[in-house]
Amino acid sequence: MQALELIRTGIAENTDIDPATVTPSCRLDELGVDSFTLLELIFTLEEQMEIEFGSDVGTPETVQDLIDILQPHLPTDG
Amino acid sequence: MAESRRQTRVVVTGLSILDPLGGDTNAVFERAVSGQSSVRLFHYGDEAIGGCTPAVHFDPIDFEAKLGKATCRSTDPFARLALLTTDEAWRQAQLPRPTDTPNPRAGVNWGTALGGINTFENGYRAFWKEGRKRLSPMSVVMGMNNAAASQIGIRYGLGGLSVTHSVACASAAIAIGEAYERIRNGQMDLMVAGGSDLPLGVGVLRAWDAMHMLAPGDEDSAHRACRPFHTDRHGLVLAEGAACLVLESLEHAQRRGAPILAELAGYGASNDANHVVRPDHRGQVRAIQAALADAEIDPDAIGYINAHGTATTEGDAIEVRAIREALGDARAKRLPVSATKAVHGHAMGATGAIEAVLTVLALQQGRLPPTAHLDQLDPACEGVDHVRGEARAAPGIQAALSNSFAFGGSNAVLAFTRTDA
Repeated sequence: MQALELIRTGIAENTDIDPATVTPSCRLDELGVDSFTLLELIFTLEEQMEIEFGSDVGTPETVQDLIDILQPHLPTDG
Repeated sequence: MAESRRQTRVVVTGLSILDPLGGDTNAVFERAVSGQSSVRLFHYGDEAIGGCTPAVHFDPIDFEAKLGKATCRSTDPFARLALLTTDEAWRQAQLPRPTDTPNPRAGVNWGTALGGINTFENGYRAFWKEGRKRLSPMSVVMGMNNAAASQIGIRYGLGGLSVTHSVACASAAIAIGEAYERIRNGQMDLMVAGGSDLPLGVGVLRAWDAMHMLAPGDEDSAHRACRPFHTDRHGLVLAEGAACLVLESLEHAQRRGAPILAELAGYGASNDANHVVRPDHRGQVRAIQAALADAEIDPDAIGYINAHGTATTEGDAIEVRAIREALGDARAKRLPVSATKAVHGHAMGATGAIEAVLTVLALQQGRLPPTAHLDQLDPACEGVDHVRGEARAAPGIQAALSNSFAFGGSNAVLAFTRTDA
């Protein structure tokens, strides 16, 4: 799943969390991604994808929430 | 009244200097004692705006391995150096790991002249040179000048207070002095105090260069570019650096069986109130005398002064004049003085802490570091007993001063006394 891979890469870049432990059902706070780290994570994802989510981001609580935010911006044929 | 102020004595229980040549703080002190310079030629910028100058600079540090990625993503290097130097001082003080509950009787006073300037410089470059449209959301918390103090407070649960002092070259000395006051007046039991700065961004270097205050040098001569009190001196050498002291009330230190390295017995501050760049010996005299009065020691008890000594033509001579006037010519003539900036450079807002740590170690070990490269003393700087060439053995030393005199006219003098003699 491309979105999950992007998130794992972003988490590996910004935290010491083992990306292999990141699955869709994980809660971000339980992973150790607080709201502050989340800001930087989302910024990293935006830079990688060359887009801005803007206020659509809301307050994701799980990795699946993040996947749902990323998914519409990914190429459908990928 | 003086009696009651003396009831709370303040002692140093931990200390640390980070220096690019590596090793622990004792290794840094040994290099100062042997006159080994950390100054190397530093190449900066790019083809469009760049150059080289003698400086003290760190090779890339693996901060992520030492502090973790999350901390590194949200901190400027000046805060990361602050954390690393505090880690060493905290360990040396044999303090326990902090609990989840912040200690309301412990705090941090940190000095920095330039704070997060490298974050801002990188941001400007990203906008105007690289054409980027956005900055990391961490930019504000990285760049703010109280970031180092904030990070130290978080890491060590210092719930009493967190204050940042930005007083140019006297920042760290004033941070240490003000921390001492907090303990002595009974508000705090323990204070982390020190400073950190990385003043080698292109903009900062070019600004100093424009003032014609940077000592020139090439690959071969860079290590001796900074020559305080020398006939042939040409200014200062900018340095990256950080240093930290753990201060405690004597009672607090004794209660937990802490190592006591020295007493911080006095602090004198003054303001030239005269000129923004040219130091005024009268202001410096007031600071030296205030420190002596505060410590209740007379000039004869002082066995060493770590001078501010930046190697500027005017500044060095004015400082010697201030020492002579403050202590009297007869005493000054026999008083060992050295300027260690010859080897560790001028780390701006950190330098007062670096020199305070070296002063404590000189006092504790009875070994006075020399002013390196001082083979030809400027007659305008005569009148004190310059320690030069070899280090000086001073087994009976009882007290020492560390001078810090800043652009802007702020002066700070710290008086340390020996506790094991």
